[in-house]
Amino acid sequence: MNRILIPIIGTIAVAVASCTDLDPKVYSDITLDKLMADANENAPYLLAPVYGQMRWFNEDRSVWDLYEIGTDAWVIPINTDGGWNDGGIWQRLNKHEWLTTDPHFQNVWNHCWYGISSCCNRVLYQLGKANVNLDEQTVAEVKVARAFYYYQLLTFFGNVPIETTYDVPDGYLPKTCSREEVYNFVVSEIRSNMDKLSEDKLYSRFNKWAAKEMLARVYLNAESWLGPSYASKRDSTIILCDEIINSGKYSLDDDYSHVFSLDNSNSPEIIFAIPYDETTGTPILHCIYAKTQHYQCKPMYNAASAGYNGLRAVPSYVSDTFDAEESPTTHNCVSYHDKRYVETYVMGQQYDYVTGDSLFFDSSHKKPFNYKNFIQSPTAADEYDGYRFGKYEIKICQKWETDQDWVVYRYAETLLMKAECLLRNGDASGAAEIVNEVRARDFNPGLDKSVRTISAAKLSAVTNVDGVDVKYGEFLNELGREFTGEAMRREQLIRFGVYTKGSWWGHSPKNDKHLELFPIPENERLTNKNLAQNEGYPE
Amino acid sequence: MANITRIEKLLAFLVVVTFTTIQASAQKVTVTGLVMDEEGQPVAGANVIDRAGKTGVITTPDGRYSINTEVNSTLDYSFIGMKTVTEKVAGRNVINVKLEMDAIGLEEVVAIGYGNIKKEEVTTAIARVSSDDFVKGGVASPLQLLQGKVAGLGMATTSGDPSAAPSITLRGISTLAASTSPLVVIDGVAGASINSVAPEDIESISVLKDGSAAAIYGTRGTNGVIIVTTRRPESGIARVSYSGYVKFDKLIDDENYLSADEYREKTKEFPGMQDFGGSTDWVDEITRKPVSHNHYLTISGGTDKTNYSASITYADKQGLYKPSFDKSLSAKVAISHSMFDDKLRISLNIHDKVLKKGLYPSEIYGQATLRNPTLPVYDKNGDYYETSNGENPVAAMNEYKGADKDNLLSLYGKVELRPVDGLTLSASGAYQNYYNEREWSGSHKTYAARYGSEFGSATLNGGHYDDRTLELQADYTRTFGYHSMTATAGYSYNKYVNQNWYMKAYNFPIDGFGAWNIGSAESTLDGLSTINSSKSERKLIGFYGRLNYNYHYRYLFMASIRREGSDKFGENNRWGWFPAVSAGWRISNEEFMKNIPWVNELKLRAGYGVTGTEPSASYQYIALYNFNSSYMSYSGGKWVNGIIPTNNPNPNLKWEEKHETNLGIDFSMLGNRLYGSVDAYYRHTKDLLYTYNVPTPPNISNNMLANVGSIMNKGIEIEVGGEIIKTKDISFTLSGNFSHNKNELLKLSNDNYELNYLTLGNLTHVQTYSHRLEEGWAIGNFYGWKTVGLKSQGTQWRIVGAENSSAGEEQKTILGNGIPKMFAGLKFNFRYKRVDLDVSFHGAFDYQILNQYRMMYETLAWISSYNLPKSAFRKVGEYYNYAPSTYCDRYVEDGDYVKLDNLTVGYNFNVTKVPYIKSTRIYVTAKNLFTITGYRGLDPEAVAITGLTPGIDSYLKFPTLRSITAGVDITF
Repeated sequence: MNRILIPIIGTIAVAVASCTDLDPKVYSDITLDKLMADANENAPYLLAPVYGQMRWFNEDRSVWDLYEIGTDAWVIPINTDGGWNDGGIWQRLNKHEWLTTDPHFQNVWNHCWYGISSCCNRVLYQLGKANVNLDEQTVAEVKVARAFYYYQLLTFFGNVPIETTYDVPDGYLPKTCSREEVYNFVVSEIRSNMDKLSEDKLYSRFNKWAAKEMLARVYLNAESWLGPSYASKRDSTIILCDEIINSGKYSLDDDYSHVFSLDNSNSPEIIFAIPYDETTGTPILHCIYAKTQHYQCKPMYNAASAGYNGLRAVPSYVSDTFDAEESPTTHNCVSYHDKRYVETYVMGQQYDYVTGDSLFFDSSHKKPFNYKNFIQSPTAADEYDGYRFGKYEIKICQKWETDQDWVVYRYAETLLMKAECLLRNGDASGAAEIVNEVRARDFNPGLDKSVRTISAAKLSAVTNVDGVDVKYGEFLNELGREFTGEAMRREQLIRFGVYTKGSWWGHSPKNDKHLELFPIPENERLTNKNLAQNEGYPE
Repeated sequence: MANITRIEKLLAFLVVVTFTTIQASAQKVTVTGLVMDEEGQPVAGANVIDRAGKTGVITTPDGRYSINTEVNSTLDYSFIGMKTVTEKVAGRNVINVKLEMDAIGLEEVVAIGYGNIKKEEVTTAIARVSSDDFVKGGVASPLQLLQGKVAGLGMATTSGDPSAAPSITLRGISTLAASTSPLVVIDGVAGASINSVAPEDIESISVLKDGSAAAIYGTRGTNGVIIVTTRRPESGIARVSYSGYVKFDKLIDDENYLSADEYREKTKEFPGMQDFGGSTDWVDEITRKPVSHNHYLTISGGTDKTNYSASITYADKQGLYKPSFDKSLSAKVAISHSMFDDKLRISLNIHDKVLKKGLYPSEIYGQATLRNPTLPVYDKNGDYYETSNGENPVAAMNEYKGADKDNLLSLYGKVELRPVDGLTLSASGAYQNYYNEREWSGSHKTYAARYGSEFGSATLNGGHYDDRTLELQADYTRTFGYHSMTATAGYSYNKYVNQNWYMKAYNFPIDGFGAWNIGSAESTLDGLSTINSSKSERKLIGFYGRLNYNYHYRYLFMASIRREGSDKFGENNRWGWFPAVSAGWRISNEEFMKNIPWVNELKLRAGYGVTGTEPSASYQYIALYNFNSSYMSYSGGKWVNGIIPTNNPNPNLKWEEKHETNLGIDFSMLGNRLYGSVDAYYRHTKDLLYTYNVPTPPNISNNMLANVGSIMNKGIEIEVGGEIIKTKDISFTLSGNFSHNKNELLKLSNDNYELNYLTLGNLTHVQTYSHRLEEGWAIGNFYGWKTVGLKSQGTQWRIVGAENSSAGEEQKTILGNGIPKMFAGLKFNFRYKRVDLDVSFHGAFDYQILNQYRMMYETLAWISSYNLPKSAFRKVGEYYNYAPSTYCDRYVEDGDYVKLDNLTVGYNFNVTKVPYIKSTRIYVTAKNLFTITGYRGLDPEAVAITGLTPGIDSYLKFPTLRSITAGVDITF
């Protein structure tokens, strides 16, 4: 019997010994070893997300929303069919009654920190460890891009950790730094790296001029972030703007609409843009189409996808900011001078792109498809209520996925940043000159000068904006006319002291300065006890 | 018949091969005779074995035999289910034998995983259901054979789709992140797909309910183990059986929506409704009265050395929607052979099933009920009449075509060696290969083509699932005095590889290719078509051992342990121990019970066992990277794809463990006329796998799969049966079961990971979540607003706590729970002579259902868009409801129901005088006959009761059906 048993037991023993191997085999993903074995070859793919991640800023419930919703310019009401209720998150943004648990804050936090930790810190660390020799310019570019992510944290949350390396010990938990420390870090990062960058026009990457533009914006806002002692930083803004102007690389586009067109990559005005691609899907530029257009909008563009009927222009803002006249009964435009008004919004009766016929919401043609500058109620908006965001050219056959390139920095802002600083420094006529230089393309030259231009006196006067008497209020209005929807309004209102004091349609002021910073997301403080909550928010 | 003779010839050949080596040397004699049963009826196919010559013959159909043997030899007469009779030849020429029914042979043997034991030896909570007790009358999934039969196994038929699997839970919900479905073991092959086996082929199903029973399957046993035993080869002359049935389904009348006339009547009263002049019953347009048929043919037979069984099943099931069907053909062959004086036994199983399912637009029922019934189907040109308000359901149904094709192959071989008495060494290998292919295409006449962006579309995707198992096992059985024991030790290696591919294209210049010319699509030429592929694998290695011991069948003991490793964990956490111990005391076998003759069986059981759960996804502890176009950037005039991490690896991942204690009692009394069992259990799952928030920074993304929380389930299960009347002509049996489970999430946080609560279940369009889970709560709590009527002229609900303001999170509260706390089943069986009647009820109690159809559309806010439910036209208090669709207590209804789910009448013909036929039975079954419930939706059972968001009744689902089945079973 042993002659049978021994070989069998032996075979079993051998089989068992060789069959306890549990090392997994990976087929469709790349392991770190494999990735780093060819680190030089793979470096461009590893570096691509440094910019790729920025496209998430314009997704629904992210950076764009925090810049624009909750300001006097844009609102997302609840529709009569209950749409856009979303547990009240949009209502709370509109009313400045947000909670620390609201999703926008978490999303913005995630999108920024993913850019910093994963796309920049991790990649620099891993490539360094794999002995990939990145040239000085590339490293500087990653660090400036990282500063761009920190900029968003600085403006929205203020007090956040400063993390520059991926290599941290187990159990390490970052600590909150003050807004001033974060500001100093951002300034020093840009300053020490900007001159290592390319001077060529790069459009979708940080060159020297894009970095200077970012720094100019940091200095422009410094006073509103950190107090009057930072007022003098506006001199640095002027210097930086002059450097960009004097480089001769950029100029105003002849046509305002071309800056936001489908072929804007050849606009002389654009300093830095984030390109999108419709074939790869997410992330998308949400505000320009999907978020704002009506769900029956397809015939307007022979479009592939319809909108969600959410984002509308605040009616009071449209009336107060632009010089257009609207009928008090139909709420449709009667007349206007400033071309930017019609470039900024989709308004009025809409037509079938193919047949040219008027569109209706219903098959019995009783409800015309007509966007009016009127919203019934913030909690019961009719489907056609409100003007829509129309600044960006919509493609014929547009999908939710976007092919448009988002303009982050453009030369008009360089000019108007300088003008704002001149104005605040007392040089109103210098400011007016720049303002009118930018306005020139927006008016029919045959119009009266008083319509086409703004005087120095008007710019420096106290003007009522959103029920607040605002020093340089007309300049704030001009910023509105030029930059509506360009992810700047929140900073503008804060700089001019209107954000927490102003009242506009559907919004009454809270008069509480702590609202100029958003809360640190609740979940982050649950998982990291070292994070302090911003002042004024429940601990 | 030709096949049968061929198989008989093959068998005869095998018999000859087996026995020709034996030489006779003593004095020869030919013995003839008749083998009869107790009633004197001839027994066909009985074995007559000559001990001296080691030869054997089989009795003829009239029970006769003739065998050449020696005068001093001994003959053994045996037949399955009967006691073997031994006769010394002693020089006789004629020996007639009567075989008695074998009580021991009928004794229930229970599959316990890696082995079988007698029912009386069981010390754990195992339910065994044999084919006699299965649900009758055509089932969509073999699991439905068990509906209402096993206490603690909650089951709901959630869809009328002929391919749909039921929603099942066993003893509550014990895990958060991983699957809640039990492990399925088919004929010893763990991890098999229950759908790979034809229901008719199943002989019995054992359900291992508690931890001490399931722990032998270690890591996959947390949700229980369902052990399916298919019909085994039986010795005897070839027997052929045929079973077939025809099934007629009918949609349960939906009284909720308006007919065209009713709609037209309402337009006079309610503005916003539009009469388009047509009269269409949209549900009628898309449905039919399905007729299905099913045929099962099996052949089995053999000698005591070699036996075989083979079967073929063909099923052609029609679905309610015109394009839906499920056609399958499955075949099974099992052969086993013993040799070397039964020291070696070889078994081979081959099993294959090919099936094709017709696909249909998934939300079509909802679209049909909601569509304005005054809209015509076609316009005056004969094209589909379309509006901007949702696709014409008839167009959707006709212009999309799709099929799902599967091939489920299983190969199994086992060699058993018995070198010495009591010791069995076995090696088995199993290979399962599941191939799936799915096609889906839309024509130029679809809404998407006429008004949307896809001018014809096609998707083709599929996958390949490859599962290999090798098992080596040694069993040693010994009895000495009153002690008997069985020891088992084994090794198990399992690896599966999963491959998937996907392609999608759109804009076809020429219509009609379906999914089979994707290259011609413009999207392909433009580089916009989608192509994907992926592959992953998983390995699981286990060592297991078990000891069964009993003293005098009075004190029973079982202990098992499994050491299991999975490659889903890092090196330090790969291996886990999963022990179990259980004991039983058969009081009825004690001396002092001899004086209590009315107690036939009384057994106490107690057990404790640990089982594990691994994460569903592979590789979660390794840092993995991949291309992701969401992170590409535009540089130097071209797009550069981005590589990013695909996971946030957790090197500390480990097994989720469930610890379960089970106490039980089995009883049988009054001459086995009253029997039953009671089980109570407490299960505690710790180190729950769940995706937790982690801080960013320093983590690169803000969630990570980690082991943190714990869940408790406790409950009681009762099964009772009684043979109330038991005479020759009449019998009446009543049996029932009941179970109650209480579930609580004990912890959701620890020092490193913290979660206050989870919000779960996104309700589309009302745009909020449906469920919330907190520490101390049961899983499945609905969480939302309570209302006290309408306000603002009926345009808003008045929310409790915010009667005059707008309501928010603070006003939300628990509105109910979607998991039934109690399940019950009741079955009557009545037999009068040859007629039998089987009636079974089942029910679920103490839970709520969110009626999504009412929530969405029981408001006139949608009046211009949809055909609303009749209830929307009733006033709520003083107002008509014009409020937006709102998730609130109004639509969370009690789900409790009792259902008469099966009524079967059968007749067994007397075929003793009919040549060739052994038995014939005909039957008619009615299923889903009526439901007693307060629930206002179509069918409270048609609601999923599993997962973390149970109890949501989707208004878009495939409704459940009522059916009548007529069938026949014939054995030759």
